[in-house]
Order: sequence, then structure tokens, then C-alpha cells
Amino acid sequence: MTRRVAITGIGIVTSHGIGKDVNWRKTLAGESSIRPITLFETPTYRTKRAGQVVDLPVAPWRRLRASRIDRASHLLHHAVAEALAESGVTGADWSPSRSVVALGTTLGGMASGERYHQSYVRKGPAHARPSLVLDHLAHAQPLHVMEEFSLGGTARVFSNACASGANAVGHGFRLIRAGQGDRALCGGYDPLCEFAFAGFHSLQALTTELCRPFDRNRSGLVIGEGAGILVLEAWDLARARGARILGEIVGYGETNDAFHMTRPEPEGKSAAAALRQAVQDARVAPEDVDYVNAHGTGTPFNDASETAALLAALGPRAREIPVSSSKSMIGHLLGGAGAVEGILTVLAIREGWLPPNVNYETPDPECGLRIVQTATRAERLRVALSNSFGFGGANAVLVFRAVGADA
Amino acid sequence: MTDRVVVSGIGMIGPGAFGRAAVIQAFPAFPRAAGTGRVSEFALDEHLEGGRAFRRVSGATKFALAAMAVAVGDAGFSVQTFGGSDAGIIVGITHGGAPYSVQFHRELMLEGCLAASPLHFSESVPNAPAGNAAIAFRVRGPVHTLIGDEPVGTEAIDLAADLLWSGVIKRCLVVGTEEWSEVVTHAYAQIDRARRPRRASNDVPPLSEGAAALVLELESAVTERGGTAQAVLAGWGLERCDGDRVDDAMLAAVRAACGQAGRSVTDADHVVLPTGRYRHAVMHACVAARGEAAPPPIWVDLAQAVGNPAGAANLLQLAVSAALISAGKVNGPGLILSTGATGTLSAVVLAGTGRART
Repeated sequence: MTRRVAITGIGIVTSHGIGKDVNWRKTLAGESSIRPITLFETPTYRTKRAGQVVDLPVAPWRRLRASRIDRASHLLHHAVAEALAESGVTGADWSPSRSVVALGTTLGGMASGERYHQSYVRKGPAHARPSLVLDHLAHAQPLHVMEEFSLGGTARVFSNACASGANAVGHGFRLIRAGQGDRALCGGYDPLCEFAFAGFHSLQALTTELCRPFDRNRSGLVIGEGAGILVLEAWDLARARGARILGEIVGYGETNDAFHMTRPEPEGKSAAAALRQAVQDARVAPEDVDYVNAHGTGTPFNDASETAALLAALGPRAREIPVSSSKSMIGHLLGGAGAVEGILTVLAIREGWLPPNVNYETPDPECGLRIVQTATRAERLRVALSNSFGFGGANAVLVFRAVGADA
Repeated sequence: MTDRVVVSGIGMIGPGAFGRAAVIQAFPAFPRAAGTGRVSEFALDEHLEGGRAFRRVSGATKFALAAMAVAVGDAGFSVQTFGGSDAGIIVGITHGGAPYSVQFHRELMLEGCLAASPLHFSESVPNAPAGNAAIAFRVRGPVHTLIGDEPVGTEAIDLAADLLWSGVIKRCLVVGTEEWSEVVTHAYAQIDRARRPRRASNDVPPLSEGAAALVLELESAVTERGGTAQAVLAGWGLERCDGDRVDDAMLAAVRAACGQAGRSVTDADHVVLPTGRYRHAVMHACVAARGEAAPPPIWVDLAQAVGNPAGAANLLQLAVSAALISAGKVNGPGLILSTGATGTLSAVVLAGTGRART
């Protein structure tokens, strides 16, 4: 049994703001939402900026005490609320045995873990609040939102570093396509926390300048935070209930580099295999691909390896396809990146506009892709790819298609 | 007829000298673990070819790699032959390598960001065991880390089965791993004291550490390569409850697992009890489901021997049941029950292959 998979709801929170309208508007405007960090002290760090969500409103929790739950859950709440509202899916449509919640995150509620450990060390173990440990677990946040939005069943939490969100979406897609489920609420999230920031700082992966994916002078990534949620449904069921279909997922590929814990394989062989898998899965040819939303972290290693992968998988056509990375504007959302960038790809297809790769100034001969420097009206935008690669060698590629593009 | 998902390789590492040989020898009474529920020191090279390259990894990664190496060898593969783009790895964890996370954060807090070790960070990320395992076993297919309570092992086999049935992969290492942490243990003790203020001790076994790995394949693939299926993953069910209706939720999970397996709960000749919370409630639910007429099963309780290795617990239970079935100590099917702190529960039916092992 093979079914088509419709996207009927989208929810997004990034440093651009809460909601798809503001995110799309600022993305098209090429606005940078990289700003000074206020969530923790930064004087000793070489870089002091990130894609932090400012003035994040406390989510309107009805069943849980908002003050006791991690920032990660608040980000997730906003995105889930938007996605469910747009889809029109209610508790009545949500059959626990035929629906799935699949979310990806790198470190979940690590900020709560930091607070617990800080009290443990500085004030003594007896003074640390134990609920913080439960709240820091990466499966706590999905359970919070499931309880809040009356979504029955069990959650599946992927933690495949920066590919987590894409893997979660891919998982939901596969289940529905295979007829094992009817609906999925899937996506990814990660809040900004000092632990992750310091980690990437220690790896010397953070730039002290602007994040410039695919530019010859690129010098590293900028951390961001946020959440992206998609409501996926079996096409026929979405149509039957009169839902507005925003787009279609048609392919998914996933591989592993088996090369190094923190560095991508330079020739991008396994990433290329994921791209080939995804394109074949979607039954499209390289000539059909109209846009690639790249992983594009802005690190020398990633962008060169991703270029090699695109060329290996798509051949000479890869040099003609418009490519951009959103990370130059909102930072790298880690476990949230795959889902948020997937959403921006869906919006690009819907609106017919190619989002820009800001701060790109000097072409890198090692890359040589067709980088979208400013938002451009697309001549044709029916099929697009969204790439996500992560620590531990994780590679995930999603293929999206315009509604009606199968005709 | 659906091709069955079978266990073709088993590996386990637990506190003290807990391992496959010890399990089979000690069955049905498992000895109380000596000491604090920690895995005894071991050299990874003894289990894994090229293991020295992983000498600086976290305990969680080291345990996982060792258990996986044993399972891969048991299935008749080697480090050279297991991997490839048609192989996968699914790791289930709860806290994973928490001691490295604690170490990294301690360095950050007390010595500043410039003193924080990048190794401690990269080994802190939850997918460090999976990422290292992909390198060690050259696995280029799907490699996932799932996070959850103790039943995350059942989630891992569910995902692996989907990938096998859909033809994405031909073999999969499913692993649970957990490393003991003083900070995490302290937090859970605080939680338990708060929940049960009048009871100094309760039925929650202490947190411990260890890892277990199973090689899963479709039965047809094992036959084709001349391997041996040791047990069949016949059915499984996952449920969630709010803590007040544990019996009902476990009953639903058991029914789902038995339904998928096409077996009755009374068929089970052994029941592996959870190592986590709600153990008594689960036992009552199981007894109620079987009814009074059914002959009593062998209750397999690993808690005294291994404590509660959280994210590794469920795979350790499954590995023990598979090893007992494979060794002919029980006929099967076995019913493997798991419970988690946040209310997730699972039941798995593990059956014999119906074929004599040659």
C-alpha cells in the first residue's frame, strides 16, 4: 500500500519570530535575526551572538505550570499550536493507534539540566530541584505537548544531532505512505542553551564574523534556536475532510557517513547516497529539482562536502539548481534545523520565491553552486530538496512537491 | 505471509560479570549484583577489533560498542562484513553518557569555556554511541538514536522492524546503552523520596548501567546467508499512562503484542518483569490477564542482578529472554514487560523459531 502524504499544517518559531507569516516575510527580505545573546553571560566567549528568540512569550499552558517547564517546551508549544490550528486537526481526528508524534532534538531541555547541575555543584546536592532533571530529558517536551493538546499515543524522539528534525519528518512520511498511520505531527526543536553554545565553541565551529554559507571566506556557524512542526496526513483523508493542502512530501533518503563523529566525510559520498535515495524515492529526476535548501552551515568542511555530495548525486545539473541556506539569517537550529528548513522549502514552493543565502559575497571555486543571493521569483518551483547533515555522520534529505505538480 | 523479524545475534554487558553465559548458567535465579550496579572494567579491544581507536569515548559508547561486537560475532558477521549501506543501527537511551555531560558542564562552570573539552561535548550528544558504532561497524544505512524511558528498547525494535520490512535495510543492530551517573541517580532518589515520603525504600530498583544489543534480520535473509535465527520478535505494543492506570495501560500493551503475535497471553512460559517503576502493578496486570486457569509462568526478575539500567533495560530484558530461548532453557514465547518514569509502557512477545538449532 502506498499513499500520498499531504502537509496540512505548519508551525514555526525562529529568531525571526513566531509564526510562518513573520518568518516568511523576514526570510524573503533577507533580514538577519542574529543578535547578542541575553540568555546567558558571554564575556569569555570568542563570539557573543546567536539566533536567539527574543521576548519569547510564555506559552498558554492549560495543564502544566508554565514556570516549571523548560524553554524547549515553550518553543514547541508555540509551533504545535500554530500547526494544529492551521491543519484543523482536532482531538477527534487524532486516533492514537493511527497517528504518530515524531520529533527530533539534539539536547532537549538541556537548560534545565544545566540549572540542576549548577545548584548541585554550587549550593549542594540537597538544594537542586529534581524535577529539572526530568524536564531536561529530551522525551519530556513531546510528552508535555501531547498532554496539553490531547494527542494520545506514544511519542518517538529522534536525537540524530542536526539531522534529527528531518529524520522525524521522514519517519512520519514513511509511516503514512506505507499505510501504517493516517496522521503525524512531526518536526524538530532545540532551544539556545549555554551547554550547546559552549560545546560548539570548544569545537571552534562558531564564527566570530557573519555566517556566510558557501562563501569563500566562510568561517563557521552561528547557533540558533526554534521549533518547526508539520502536520502530515494521508492525502485522501485530508481531501475527504476538506483540509487545505499546503504541499506534499514525496521522498526521503537517509544514510550515515561512518567516517568521523564531528566532521563530514570530505567527498560527501554518503550524503550523495542520501540525495540519490531521496530523489529515487520521490521518483523525480535531477532535471526536475528546482531548488535545494542546503544544510549550509557556513563551516569550511560542511559546505565543501555538501557541494561534493550535490554534484555526485545530481551531476552537472547541480550547478544550475538554485541553492540557499537559511542559517545565515536565523542560525543553526540543531535538532530543529531539518524541520524549520523543510517548512521554509514548502513555503518557497507555495509562494514561488527562492529564499536568499545572505552574506554571500565571494564565490568559492571549491563550491561553485548557483547560490541565491537575494530573494528571487522562481521561473519554476515544483520540486525542492531540503538537506540535513549532523554529528555522528547523520544525513537526511527530504523531497517536497507543489500541490498539483503531479498532474 | 509476512517475513518474520528474528534475532540472529545477542550481546549484553551488565553490572559485575553479568553476560550471556552467566545468565544461562544462573537461570532461573539471578545473583544479586555485587557493588553499585556498575560494569566491571574491561578492555574494548577484547570484544571489538580496532577497539583501541575508541579508548576515549564515554562509558555509554564503550558499553554499546562491546555489546554490539558480541552480537555481531554471535550472528556470524565480523566488523568487516556487517556494515554497508544495507545495514542500520538503532540505539535507545535515556540519559546516555551523562558523566561526560556532567564533566563538560563542570569544566564550563568552574574553569570557564576555554577549559571545556571538545571531546566531553561531542561524547555528550545523545547520538555519540550510534555515531561511533557506525564508524566501528562501517554502517552507512540509517543510524538513529531514540530517546525515551526504559521502554525505548521496544521503540527501537519497532523502528528496526519497519526498516527491515520496507526493504530499506537487510540487517540492523538494535542497542540500548546507559552509563551510571552520580548526579542523575541523586536526582531520581530525590524524586522518589518526594513521591513516597513515608517509605525509605520502595520497589524502584537503583539506577545502574550496561548495554545490550540484538542483531535483527528478516528470517528469509538469515536462511539465505546460512545463519541461525535464535528467537522471533513475534509482537509488541507500546502504551502511555498518567501513572494512575498502569494496570490498564499494561494490559493494552500486552494485548497489542499478543494480538500481533497471534498468541494468547497464557502461552507465555516466562515473563520478564520491568526493572523500572510500577513493577507490582505490572505483575498484577499480567496475572489478571492470564487468569487463574493458566499455569504460572516463570517470572524472570533481573532487577536484583542488574538494577535498572534505564535506556538499556528493555534491550537487556530482550537479550536475556532471547538467550534463554536460544539455549533451550525456556521454550517461549516470553513476555517482556517494561515501564518508564514518565508513564510509557511496552510489552514484547519473543518466541522460539520452531526449528531446532543446528
